[in-house]
Amino acid sequence: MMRKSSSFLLVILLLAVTVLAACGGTQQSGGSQTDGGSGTQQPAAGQTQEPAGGEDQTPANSLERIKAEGVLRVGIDASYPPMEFVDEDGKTPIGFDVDMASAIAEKLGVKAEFTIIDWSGIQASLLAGHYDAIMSSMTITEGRQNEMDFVQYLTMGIAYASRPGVDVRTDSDLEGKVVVVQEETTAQYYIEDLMANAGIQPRELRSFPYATDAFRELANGRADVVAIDAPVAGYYAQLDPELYRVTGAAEMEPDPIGIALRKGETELREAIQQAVDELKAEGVLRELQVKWFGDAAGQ
Amino acid sequence: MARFIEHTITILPVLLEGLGVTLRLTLISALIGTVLGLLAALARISRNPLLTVPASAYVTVFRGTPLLLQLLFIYNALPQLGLLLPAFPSAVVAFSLNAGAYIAEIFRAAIQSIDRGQMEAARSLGMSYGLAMRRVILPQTYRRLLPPMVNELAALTKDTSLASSISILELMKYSTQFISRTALVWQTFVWTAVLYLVVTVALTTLASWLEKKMEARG
Amino acid sequence: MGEPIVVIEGLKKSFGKVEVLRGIDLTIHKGEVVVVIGPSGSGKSTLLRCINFLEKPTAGRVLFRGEEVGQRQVAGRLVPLPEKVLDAQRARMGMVFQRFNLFPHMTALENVIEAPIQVRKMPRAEAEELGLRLLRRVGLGDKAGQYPNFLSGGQQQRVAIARALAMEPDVMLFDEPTSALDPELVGEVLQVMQDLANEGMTMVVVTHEMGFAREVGDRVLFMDGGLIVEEGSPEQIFGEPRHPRTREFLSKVLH
Repeated sequence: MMRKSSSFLLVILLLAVTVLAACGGTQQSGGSQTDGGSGTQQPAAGQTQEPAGGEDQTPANSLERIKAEGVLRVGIDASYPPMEFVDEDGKTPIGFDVDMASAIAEKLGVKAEFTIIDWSGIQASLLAGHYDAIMSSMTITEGRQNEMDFVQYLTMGIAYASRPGVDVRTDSDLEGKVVVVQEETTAQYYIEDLMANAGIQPRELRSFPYATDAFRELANGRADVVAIDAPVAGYYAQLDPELYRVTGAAEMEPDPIGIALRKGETELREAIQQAVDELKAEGVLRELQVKWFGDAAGQ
Repeated sequence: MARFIEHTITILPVLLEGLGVTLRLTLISALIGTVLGLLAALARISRNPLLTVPASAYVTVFRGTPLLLQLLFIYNALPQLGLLLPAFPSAVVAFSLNAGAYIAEIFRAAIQSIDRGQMEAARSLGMSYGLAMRRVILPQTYRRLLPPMVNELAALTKDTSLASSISILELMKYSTQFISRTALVWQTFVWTAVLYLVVTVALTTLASWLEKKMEARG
Repeated sequence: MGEPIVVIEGLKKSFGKVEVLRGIDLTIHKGEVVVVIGPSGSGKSTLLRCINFLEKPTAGRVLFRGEEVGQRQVAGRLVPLPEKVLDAQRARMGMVFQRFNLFPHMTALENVIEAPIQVRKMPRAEAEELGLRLLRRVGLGDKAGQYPNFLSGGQQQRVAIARALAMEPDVMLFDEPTSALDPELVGEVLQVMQDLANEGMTMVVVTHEMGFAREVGDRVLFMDGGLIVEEGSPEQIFGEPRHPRTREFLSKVLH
């Protein structure tokens, strides 16, 4: 029927236009955004704004805006104790990264405000401009560096936490064990790499969306060892020392962990780098590590 | 058992807060979606291509793409086109548009299921199309709308769990977040399930009650 | 004879490739009761429905009280007239359907007063009075508060007639009003229609009820194959049908 085919064509056209428009758009070049979010979401009054820049990638100037507003907005996925998680009330962000971000904000003369968001959406939101930094135990990788700039503030190694009766100390001890990891983490990639290139064959390698799931598997005896970022292993071990013990570490260079920023934010990046350096020099970084990791896991 | 009660006392207040957000998001989006859906349905069945084409495009696009994509698009892609919406309004827009598309089909099916003779009788009495719709056709659709609308509402309630991808703390996110802190996996999930069930069962109960009331009239 | 209420000139109607009306010329005068008979598929219902534009003619004109209904010939093309004009014209024609088409979510009284209130803006009290009067006139004064699904077919059809009458139409169009009724309920409806005719209502009735045609009709039209094959007084058509097809039809129908 004529009407059906013409509406179908129009839909295709609409989609094409939308896709083209989305691709052709430039990066948001600063400007004020009213995304409130201190862990909880209040329905902030919606404000729209025009992109400040033109079609080119004009250098962004978020630092000025941040100082003017007095707020550094940081995106986190607060499901990752002890790095970023929530307090007893179930919504106030706490953790190593939270304290670190607050300290950095103080150095810039502003306050930190946290937007809690699912890991799956965390990068897109930064690029869209809903916050200015991601500080959520994000490993600095080449792929990510193509899309974002980083300020390194920590390194994290992978620790092995075994269930009672099992003692995994090094990579080769993984042989024949049932290993669990958290999905899409460095630990997962590392173990897969061992399997592919170092000839180490665990009996099974399983991954789960959440760290807690992985530790559950240890608790109910379905897995032998969890491979996960050292601070996280330390946190869970102290939650339940009967069930989990940190027994070893991976033989790898610890991963660089960084604060992710939009590309082109030169001033902001430099300011944050300076803040991190100062906090290191003043020993604040070490204090926080001790407070949250129990011991110096990383530097 | 005592431990379970202890845990419940820590779990519930947190989850209830999440439930509040879920409910707010659901109800606002459902209301807007219903209005949108009714308008789109009427546009779809009209004989004017200026109305049918955009309405069909809207329904096709929003039923034919994943809700998650729609959410992320509105929250993260629109800013590139100049529109930066905060999280809650973005979610409301996405859920309303999505629900509206499904509701449009629900309305359309209900309206078209009414016997043609009804419209003919109304028009032959001199009633305009709009008057006939309002006074004769639509009131007869209410009973037929109930089951699919309740389904849609229940689905919407559950769909709101996607909103955590755009930084909205709703029931599911509160739940997983809490678990990552406490490792009380099954206890938290049980209570989360209970809360979702409370909502969906309340919906279906309300619907049955309404259906019985309408039965009396015939 | 009364003035012409409905004038039909060269009416043709096709559904896709099928030509259902092949050229109808007809004038209905005030006070006339015109009965249309014929085999199914002859186009009788379509003809009736073209009068109030429930079907859109493919060619020709329908004039109601001198005005064209639904569309107009402009430079050789048929151009639709504004809906408001059509609504106003329909408000002065009443139609009674084979399947009654009462509004199931309203009581009998509410069915009857709905159009007067909504279309003619009659105040509710006045409309209710009118409605009760009409319901009593069709013998259903005591059923005013009943919902249609609690009424028998014959009762529903009588309510439908009252509903059409409530708009004080200039012509009443009946589309096989008793075809869907159980035989024992047919009489009560035909009686109402006869009363109406006696009161001088202009009526166009498509029906299989030959008795009614003979007793109440002023003019009988026999239709077949989309054309009016023969027309005349009931005495002529039933007593001395001239056309062979008329004779054939009647011999099958009257035994």
